[in-house]
Amino acid sequence: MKVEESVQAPLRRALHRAAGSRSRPRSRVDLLKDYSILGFLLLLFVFLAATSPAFLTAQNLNNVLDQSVAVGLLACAGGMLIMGGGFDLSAGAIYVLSAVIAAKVANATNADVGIATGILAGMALGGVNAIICTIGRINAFVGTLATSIFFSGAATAITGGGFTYIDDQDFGKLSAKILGINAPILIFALFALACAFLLNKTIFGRHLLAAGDNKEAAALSGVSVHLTLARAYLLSGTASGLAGVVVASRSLAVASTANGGNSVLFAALAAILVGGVSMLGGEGAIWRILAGVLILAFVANGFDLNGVDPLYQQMMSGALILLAVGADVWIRAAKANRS
Amino acid sequence: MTEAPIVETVKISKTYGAVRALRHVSIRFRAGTVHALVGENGAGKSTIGKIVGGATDASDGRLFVDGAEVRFTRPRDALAVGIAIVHQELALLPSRSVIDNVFLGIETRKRYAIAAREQRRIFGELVERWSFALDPDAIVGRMSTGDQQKVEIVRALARDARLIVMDEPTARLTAPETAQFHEIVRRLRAQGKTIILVSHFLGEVLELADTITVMRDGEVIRTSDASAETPDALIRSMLGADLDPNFVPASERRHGEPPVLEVRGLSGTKFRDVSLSVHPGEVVGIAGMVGSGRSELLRTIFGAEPASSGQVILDGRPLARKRRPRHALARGIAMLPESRKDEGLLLKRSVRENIVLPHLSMVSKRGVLSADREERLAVDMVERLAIKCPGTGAGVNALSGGNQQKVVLAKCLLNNPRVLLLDEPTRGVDVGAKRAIYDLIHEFVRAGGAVVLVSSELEEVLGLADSVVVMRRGQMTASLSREQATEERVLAAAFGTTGDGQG
Repeated sequence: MKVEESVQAPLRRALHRAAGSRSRPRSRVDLLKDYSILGFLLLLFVFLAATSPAFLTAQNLNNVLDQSVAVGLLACAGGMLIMGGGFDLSAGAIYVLSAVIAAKVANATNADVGIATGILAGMALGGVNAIICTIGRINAFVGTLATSIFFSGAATAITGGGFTYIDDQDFGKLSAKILGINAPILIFALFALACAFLLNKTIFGRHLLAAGDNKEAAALSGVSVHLTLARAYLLSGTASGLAGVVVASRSLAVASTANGGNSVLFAALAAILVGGVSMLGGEGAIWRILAGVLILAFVANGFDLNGVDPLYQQMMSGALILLAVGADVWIRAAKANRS
Repeated sequence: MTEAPIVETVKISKTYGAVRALRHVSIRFRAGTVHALVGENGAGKSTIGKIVGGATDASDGRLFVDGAEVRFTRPRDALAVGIAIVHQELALLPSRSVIDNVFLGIETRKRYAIAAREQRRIFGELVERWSFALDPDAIVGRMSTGDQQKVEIVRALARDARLIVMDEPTARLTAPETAQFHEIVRRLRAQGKTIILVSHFLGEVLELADTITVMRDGEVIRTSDASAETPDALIRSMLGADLDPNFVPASERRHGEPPVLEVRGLSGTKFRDVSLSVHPGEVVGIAGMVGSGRSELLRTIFGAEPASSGQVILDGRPLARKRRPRHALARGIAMLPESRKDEGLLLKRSVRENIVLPHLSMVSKRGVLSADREERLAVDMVERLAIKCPGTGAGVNALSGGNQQKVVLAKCLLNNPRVLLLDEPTRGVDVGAKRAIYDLIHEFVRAGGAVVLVSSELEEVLGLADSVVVMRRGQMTASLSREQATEERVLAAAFGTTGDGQG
């Protein structure tokens, strides 16, 4: 009897597993959501490749991706923060301020120290947000709006406005080409992979999704909600610092205006939304955020290649967000009505 | 006082999903009287109040007001014919003034602006007529609960309510506030208003009501004149049915062994000076009404709420004074929280992720999860608790209430804890799941585990517990052995009708 049981148990487990992995956790709504975003990306790609011969060239694709790096870095880290129930409106300001710090430090010492300091500065500024929005108990929107304004002000104060030029040409190595691909693209790919790993394969990722789904249940399950969110704020700050340094390396010049930061921030939020991350927290995936980044980047590229006024690009991006979020809401509502 | 009913329910039934809350309830509420509804938790008395007040819709049956059949789909419909509800959890805007709250939704307008002077005049008249001492400009959130309740009542009166449904109006009031409230109810009745009073406090009911309806399991047991009732008679009819024969006494208590869990003089947000001890193989039941502080007691032991004084000792070693749930979990204390949806589950995540969440270190190395180990553990728990789901990857929101509750229990049992704190373990689950949960509790104590059980279902407490602690308004009013713990004794201590079992 005992022997039989011990033989059967693993067998039953195996059957269970097979059944479990076949019927993946995804409901039909989620599947539709997944396929629709991939389908849209694919259609867009085919359409652009067919209508514009300049699209499917190594140089164009390299450029499109390269220009999405800053947005993509902010979107991955910011998306994770949103999944955990936080929010970072200061990511754009950190992006500007860390680039300014990197440039100033590089000019005072050398490129390597400048780069490292810029990234660490981003992390430290993220730490400020972490403290304010966890132990400080200040609402994330309010807290990071305030730090955003503060950080932007600091960037202008440090530079006195205008551009800061980086003297050490060595700083530009971050934008070198490796095997024909721009280094920033590789940096971003590595960062996105790291985010996906953190989210799916680590205790931190689990705790993050738990905190974003149901704070109370997470705390009662032994999750330290504050510590988990604090890490996500640190990650968001680090990503912004990295983005600032990478973009600075491209032209070896840093603009200290708030505008640049805000446009990157809003583009990142747009990608997160198009990627179907719930603003309420608790769900989302890095690959979908990447799809969101690519869709917005391809749309912009398509407008450029076809010589359409860039003003219409913005209108298109806005419409896309509404479409992506609206489709999700309407499909769910329709499903709820049926059952 | 006329004999014509102002409101009458005829064979009203109400079901929530598979749960039947009311069954063929027919009650006549006469104009100008105080009509009390009494019964145990879950007897359906609040549901009747909600249906009459338009806060919820009956599934079946008819509702008459002044002899004409009506159908309410929202509170506004009821308000239109003069029926208002004063909720148990007061529904006020805490950061607004008294006068803003009173006129919210019925603002007197002058063109597009609010006619402030006119409102003040009406407010003054109301307050004077009903002798409420209320400052119109006081901020509601800074007022005492008793005063907030007065604001709710004035609000109902400002809407010309003829009938006011009051759901547990004194549950959160202090003794002097309660006395004041009783005075208000008498004044309202004297002026011809009709009151439906839903209350746990039998003394209050007998003192105030003209008519009392006793309910049990969603049905009306009887409606009679208050003068003909006594506390004992009310308690007997509220209880009615015998104990569920399916209960098997747990009683695996091991004599001579030191207690696993000791609580000494513990005080917290809503309870004071509670002491109890739980031995290996023992179930200690905590009885008491909703709001008696029983859930807060469990949460404080677990570290989810701060203790203001007292000690919790596990296996002879005290737990840190400033503890968090994760510290309690690490020492082998698990808690099944009162509301599985609000406090127990991640509704957007899978069964697997929910089960392993409290103990991710069991399935990881240096913070990196092993999908294999995680899946094995989850499948083990799904089999052990017989959780019905399409796979461990299925979303937990797709499961039935009973299976969701088993998922929460699986979270608790994952690392074979020493102590289980169970808060309403069978609330809103079907009979089969209930049975299975009882079996799991038995299995746990048979293996030497210790259980503290909070339940609103008296049969559950009496059927499972080796000893019973009764709480009322934050204090222990009785500590009874299995033999001493009769329904009458427990209820008397919970309602505070007699001094029986004090100690």
